[in-house]
Amino acid sequence: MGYKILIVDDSNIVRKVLMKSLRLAGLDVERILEAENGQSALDLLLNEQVDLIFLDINMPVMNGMEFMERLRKDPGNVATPVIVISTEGSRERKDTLFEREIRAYLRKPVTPEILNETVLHVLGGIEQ
Amino acid sequence: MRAFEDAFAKVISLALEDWGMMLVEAGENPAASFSACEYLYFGWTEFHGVTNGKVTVLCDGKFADILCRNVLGVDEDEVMLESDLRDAVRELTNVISGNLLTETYGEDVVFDLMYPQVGAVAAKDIESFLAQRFTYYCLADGKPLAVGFSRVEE
Ligand SMILES: [Mg+2]
Repeated sequence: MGYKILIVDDSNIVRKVLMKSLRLAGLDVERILEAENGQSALDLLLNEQVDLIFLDINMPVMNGMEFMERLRKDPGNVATPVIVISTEGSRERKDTLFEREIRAYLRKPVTPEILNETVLHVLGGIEQ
Repeated sequence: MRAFEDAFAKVISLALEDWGMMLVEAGENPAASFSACEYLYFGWTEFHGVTNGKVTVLCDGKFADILCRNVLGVDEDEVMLESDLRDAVRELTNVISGNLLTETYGEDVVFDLMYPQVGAVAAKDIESFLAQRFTYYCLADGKPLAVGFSRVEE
């Protein structure tokens, strides 16, 4: 069984590039799911259990900060690994995200090398 | 002023060279360059915090096409979707504004960055866009790009 990964970002091209990088990284990926905002992601997670979530912060409808707060209140997702990829640069916001136990924070724009390194590091610690 | 120029240059290089894989160089006479463009995109976002304001991005349609192709790794003979071009300009506005605020005000200041919007701009509005106090102009792969930063009280 490969990994099931969810990408949450309003930008279609950012999602496409991330998907491509993940497939090229040589990971055993079973499925990649997409959501264009926090609310659609929460809706999707009602019926799906994923191994890893990539999360943008600046999105319409529901942003990444609110998504994280709600995600951790869901008993099925208290520990789901999340990697935040955002332009958000303030320490306070980052601290809040780490308090909600995100695994990594990457600042946009992200190079494929840094992305691969981070994904391998995060998934390396997950039992399949 | 110098600090602002440096912040702009650093962020533009990050967004266009690292992300967009474009060659950035200094440009002259932005009004004439933009007037010669067939189609222009205009991206903008508002920020709220210790100070309130707006970050605006004006670019050539051809620029948006190159940026989008480079980011997606799409060949030149493939036609790009209009929605993807707008998406590229929106994400560029997002990357520039977020990084510009952090570069300028530091990591200890929190801003609420609004969701960026993208539209077309009329040729007659170019002059007033370029007349903003903090405007950075350059060429990326030979195509014009201008970034404006304005605070509400200014
Ligand atoms: Mg976004």
